[in-house]
Amino acid sequence: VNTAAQPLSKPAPTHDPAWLSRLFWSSAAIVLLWPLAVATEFRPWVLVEPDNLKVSWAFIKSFFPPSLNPEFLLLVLQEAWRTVAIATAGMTLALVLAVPLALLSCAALSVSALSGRMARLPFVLRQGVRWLLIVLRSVPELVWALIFVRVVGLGPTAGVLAVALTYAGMLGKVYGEILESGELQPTQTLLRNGTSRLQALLYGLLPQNAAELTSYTVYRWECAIRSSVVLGFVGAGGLGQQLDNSMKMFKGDEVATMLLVFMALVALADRVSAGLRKALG
Amino acid sequence: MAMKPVAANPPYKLPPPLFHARCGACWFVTALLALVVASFATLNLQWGQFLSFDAARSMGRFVAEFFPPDFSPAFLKKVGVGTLETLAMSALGTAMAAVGGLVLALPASRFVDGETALTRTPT
Repeated sequence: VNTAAQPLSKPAPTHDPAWLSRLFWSSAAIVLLWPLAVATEFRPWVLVEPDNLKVSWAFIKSFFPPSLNPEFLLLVLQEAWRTVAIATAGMTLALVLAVPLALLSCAALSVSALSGRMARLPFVLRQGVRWLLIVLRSVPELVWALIFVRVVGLGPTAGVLAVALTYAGMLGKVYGEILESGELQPTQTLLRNGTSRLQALLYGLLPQNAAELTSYTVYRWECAIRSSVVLGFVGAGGLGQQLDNSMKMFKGDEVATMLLVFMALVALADRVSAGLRKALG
Repeated sequence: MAMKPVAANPPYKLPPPLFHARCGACWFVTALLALVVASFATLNLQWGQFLSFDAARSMGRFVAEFFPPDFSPAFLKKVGVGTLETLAMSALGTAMAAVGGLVLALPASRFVDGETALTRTPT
């Protein structure tokens, strides 16, 4: 049908035709959010009261200039490496768990679902794996860390294990969903024509989704760095512990230096992710 | 004289080879492996202690303390209030983050190829 040749029945509207419903839903959202703001005692104006402003301003002013004491810089460097190492080791172990679980839970690789409904046993298995992933990631890494601290004592081991278990849950879920959300036809065609699931994965699902999977993985590594900072508060070592010390002693200049290190790490992860997306996408 | 067969995909249409002469991919993979190995090597992780019989027992004892979960009405009420507060906090926080994120994401994204904004790169 050649729609371009038909004359337009109506001139294009000069204003947004959906303004009324947009206005309505925006107001409805605000009305719905209001009780939440009350429930959480959300009072942002407390922030700008003169007394509080003076306190926070004094703390922020102590950030400048950041501490560049060589001894401290060396310490920060060591602790930063520890943080990165905890995050990297945790992510590696998480991937070892997450990749098989994601493939097990991925409905796009189901052969029985090609013709109608998925058979019962595979359905139950996939659902079971999903629940396992939910359990893994619903326990916050801080709680996992506290459990493992009981066993292995204070130190990086508890941090690595905590990151590994929580991130296995997150990575497994999102990998599975990324694989299911792409264009499924190539994969289904491969499966229908008798390839194995592994071949369907390698030639159908991965080429499409490689960029998305990689950028999510790098993003999670970035998150793992932040997590290992939080875990440092409970004694996993690394920058978190140092940050906690400096905060408690109100040494704003040291806090500023460590925040700059975090920014550098996050910016690095961002660059790596951008480069990988360009190469793979 | 037989003609050379024409390739199904002319070479210029194929994606660039992953491992080419300058081989960015090799260097990247090597660096990644080095990072992982160095991470495990420098952390002195106590696998021995973690996988020991003692550890399994103390973990078992700890997990056993979790059972049975406390379902007494007074405690459930406290947990319920806490859950609502958590939900409210996360919903409100996410809503504000979404608004702020949109404000930042619009100028940070590139809509048109060859846009002349110098500091923007495709991400």
